[in-house]
Amino acid sequence: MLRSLEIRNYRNLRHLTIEKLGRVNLLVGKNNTGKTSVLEAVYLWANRGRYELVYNILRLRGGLFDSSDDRYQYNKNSLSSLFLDQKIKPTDEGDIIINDSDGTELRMGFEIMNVSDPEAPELLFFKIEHTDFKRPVNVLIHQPINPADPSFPPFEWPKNIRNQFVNANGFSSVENGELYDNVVTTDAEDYIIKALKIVNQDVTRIAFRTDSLTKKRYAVVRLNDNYPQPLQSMGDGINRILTIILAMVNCENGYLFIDEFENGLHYSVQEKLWEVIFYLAERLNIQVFATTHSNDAIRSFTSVLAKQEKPDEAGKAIRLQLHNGDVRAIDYSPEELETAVEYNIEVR
Amino acid sequence: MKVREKFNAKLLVEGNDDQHVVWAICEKYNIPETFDVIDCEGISRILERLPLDLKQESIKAIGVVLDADQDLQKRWRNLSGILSSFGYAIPDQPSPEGFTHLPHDIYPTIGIWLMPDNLQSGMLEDFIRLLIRPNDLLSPFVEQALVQLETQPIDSRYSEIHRAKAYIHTWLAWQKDPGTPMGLAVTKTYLDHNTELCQLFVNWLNRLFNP
Repeated sequence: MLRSLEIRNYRNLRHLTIEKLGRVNLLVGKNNTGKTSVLEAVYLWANRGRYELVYNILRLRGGLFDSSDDRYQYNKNSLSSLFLDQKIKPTDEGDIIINDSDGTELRMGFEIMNVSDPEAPELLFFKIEHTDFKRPVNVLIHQPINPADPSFPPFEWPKNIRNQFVNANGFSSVENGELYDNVVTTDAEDYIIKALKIVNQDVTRIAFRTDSLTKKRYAVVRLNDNYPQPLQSMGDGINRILTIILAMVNCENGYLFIDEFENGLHYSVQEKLWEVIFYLAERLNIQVFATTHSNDAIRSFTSVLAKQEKPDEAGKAIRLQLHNGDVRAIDYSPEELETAVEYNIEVR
Repeated sequence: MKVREKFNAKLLVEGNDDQHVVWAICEKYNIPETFDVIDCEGISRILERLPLDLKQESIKAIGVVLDADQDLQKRWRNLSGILSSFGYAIPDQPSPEGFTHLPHDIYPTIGIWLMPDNLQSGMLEDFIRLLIRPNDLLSPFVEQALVQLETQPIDSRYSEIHRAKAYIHTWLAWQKDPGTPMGLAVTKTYLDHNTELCQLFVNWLNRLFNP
């Protein structure tokens, strides 16, 4: 579990320190304060900088620049979008550094290497270093940087890391189907049914089916004794809950990231979902990082946190705010959160 | 009294009377309306909510008006304890002009006024009592009544710490319009808002909220 956190030069985060984290952490703050960037940074740290995920983040957040025919320029611009001020500094000072208080550090940056032939052009690499690695991983910018490209070199990363990232919008029925297959016939099924009951009491079973025409997989649920019906027809809320819980039962002993917790969720179900999240986080030894804009999400988080046996360790709310151009973190203890809710004092 | 909060500056006061007295004084001095006066319903609630108000992103200035009560030093230490933990530099003693501190790090401007005058123990009623004109004709009778009463062994009588309360409410009870609340007594000029003490208080408010 990450007890404290320090991030340097990742996107808009020049130097962010979060002194104390809990098991379930809720990040709040205005737009553009870097909530999602913190999730991404911790996600990369938790995955030891696995390059496929770096690339995936670029793809999902529109960081891939496609305007130039020049592959070198295109690759350079794409990767530099992860860095503060989109700057490439081939010295250590511009490196992205993400570390915890125990000294486990992930470092990403650029490095110029000169070939011995003075006629040859210098080569630019994207390098990934981690305290667990014997040597850094270097991705040559002059070659394709898409890890799916056949010419991309095979890098080894530890295989047993289980972390999940739930994006702000939508859900993927394909991924959900795979996640379900991983846990089918385990206790996880009970957790999933219990969670779906938050929205619809009548749910008794869940399964995934394959559409015979499109070959796409989709979730169906059985309501009491009726015929199974597609979950997608039952509204955003229940699908969001399924996505979150499937992610959770797939990251035992790892980290779960939820961007914009409240999306699709009526406030009346948020408290019950937090209860399930706090329960599973403890039970499956998962550390959770979620973001929100919503006061309802903060209130429901507060009231569930207060009911935990050791609230101080169970959860933390952290607000990110801009101060003189830099992002700073303000943290709230469980008691402070309760006082804020009681006196109707703004935390966001 | 609950108010709809409109400003990014807050004055936290202990009760309804404090709130109305502040409003009445602001009106007399035409202090620009740039801050909310929040009735926090008691000192413990002010001390409880102060750290959260300091942490609110939108707030630019916070003032706190507290009764010094029996022990001015103790009250000062309560507040300086909270503020020091946010990194504010707090002197050992309150100053007679009222304390103000410019924004610190990401936290707002802060001001403290200890009733009645940042020097003595006491409360809002002591402050109000100091606004009674020196040549007032009713106050000698009030004093006399209190002194007389205090010679009697009456168990249900006010305790020493509440003497100013007994004094001021007796005095207000004997006005032309008996039982006028303290705020309204300022408005109706039963009380003198031009005293030096009141001016110090107004200067403190302006330093804090209208610099």
